[in-house]
Amino acid sequence: MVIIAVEELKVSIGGRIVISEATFAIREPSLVVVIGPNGAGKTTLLKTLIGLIRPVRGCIRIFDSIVKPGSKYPKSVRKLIGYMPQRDVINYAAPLTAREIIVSGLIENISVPRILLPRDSNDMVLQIAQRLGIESILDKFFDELSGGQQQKVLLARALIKDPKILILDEPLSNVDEISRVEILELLRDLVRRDGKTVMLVTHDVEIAMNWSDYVLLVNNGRAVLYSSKMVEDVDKFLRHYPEKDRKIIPSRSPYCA
Amino acid sequence: MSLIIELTCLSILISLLAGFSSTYTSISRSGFLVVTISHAILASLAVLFYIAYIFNIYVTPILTWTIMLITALPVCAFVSHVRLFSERDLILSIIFALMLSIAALFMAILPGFMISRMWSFLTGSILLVSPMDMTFIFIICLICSTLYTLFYREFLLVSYDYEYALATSIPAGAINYLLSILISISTLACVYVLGLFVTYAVMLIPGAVLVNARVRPSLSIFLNILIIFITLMISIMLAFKYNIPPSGLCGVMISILAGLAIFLKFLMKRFKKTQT
Repeated sequence: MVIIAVEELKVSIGGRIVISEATFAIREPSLVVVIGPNGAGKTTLLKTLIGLIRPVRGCIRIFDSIVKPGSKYPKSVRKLIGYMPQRDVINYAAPLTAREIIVSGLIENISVPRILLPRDSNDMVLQIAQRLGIESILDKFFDELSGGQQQKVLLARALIKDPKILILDEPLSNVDEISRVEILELLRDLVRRDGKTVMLVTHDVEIAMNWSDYVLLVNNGRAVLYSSKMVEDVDKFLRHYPEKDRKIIPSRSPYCA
Repeated sequence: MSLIIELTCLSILISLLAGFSSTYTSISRSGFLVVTISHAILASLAVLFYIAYIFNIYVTPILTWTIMLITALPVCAFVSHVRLFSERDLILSIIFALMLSIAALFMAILPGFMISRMWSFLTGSILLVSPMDMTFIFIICLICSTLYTLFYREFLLVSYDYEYALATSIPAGAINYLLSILISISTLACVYVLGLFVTYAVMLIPGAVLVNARVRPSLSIFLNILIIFITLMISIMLAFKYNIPPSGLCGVMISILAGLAIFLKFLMKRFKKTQT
């Protein structure tokens, strides 16, 4: 079974090539940590995976759906993915509570017109909040929360629609050590117990080493997937990017045939 | 008596339009859109009156509303594609400057009797709204209020986290465009009835103050409608008694109320600080 596969992907933004070649496949529920230096294209890769950026070349396969350059990103795939953007893209002018933000994750599950929420939405919010330990802050305004609490609220919003894949852009930035371990344990639990696949961007090499099943290294416009057990020193990888260890997954694979 | 009923109906319609728009304008940070659209309308009307004067055409309400719509829609279509707030505000400021210049240019060459008609778009003509205009405003109010209500959750989502909205299966781009259109059409109706200056007051100030005071959007919409309706009604009553323009009074009252609210918030903050 293929969960996410990317084949010879090329992505450019405003004429500048950000990802020149990316080929990898995730075949089983796993915790994939995307790592790489600043400006390497980690966020661009994630945004391409969720259809916010269109690839120039190559293809993306999510379960049985294939996205190629020029093709429309399938709506059915969007429903399978829970996305958590970086916190700084949020407009803090809106006076919304944590509860309202988490509920907005259900928007796809509500039939049009979406003015009325499902009857069990409160229970769903409470359940997810309890799992993340944020039930006491549900009625606080989002901008009154600490950075870590805000991250947890956004994670809860991504989780509430029960997606099969979670794509998280820097979910651990501004999170204290205790909350960081809590979130990582939850993510690992989601992979092991619920069979979800989690892809998260981080700058923390330690997380890549200790928590991931796979490390997706993005550097110099290339993205290569490594089994985390094979990565002894991610720092070394980032600096030297050794040719001999590259391409654990063969580049010519029939994912998008 | 019928005039009072007519004015009350008009006030309700304008309060609904401005009340909804004011909240959404503040949350989606579209204040500049309101300012630019209103100036674009002024410029297009100045050009329309000039052409009408040259070719001796009678400017009917239908023609006026059509020209206002034709001006407003391309502006919001253009800017709704720009995601970056700074970029959007820059484009809007250029359009704003251009439109204000065009308006000034054409108003300078218009004959005196037409200037007075143009002046009514600056200061408002709530007491002179014709039945035909009332019908237009009623239709606009019905459409806008229904859409503002039906798409409440979608509008909030695209306003506070556009990137997340794009990643969901809802048509975020189209919803963002729809919100810009509704704000623009509401601006158009407000400019027609209340005039350019007061439109800023009713469409920007109450929503901004309530959002700043952390009032939740649904309650903010309700309070905005109520505040605008009460101030409009008081202004109309005072206008009858003292023969002063009601729009101006409404603008002054809303600005004073907003000032008081901000001052009160400041005092409460100081009080809380001293308590701790």
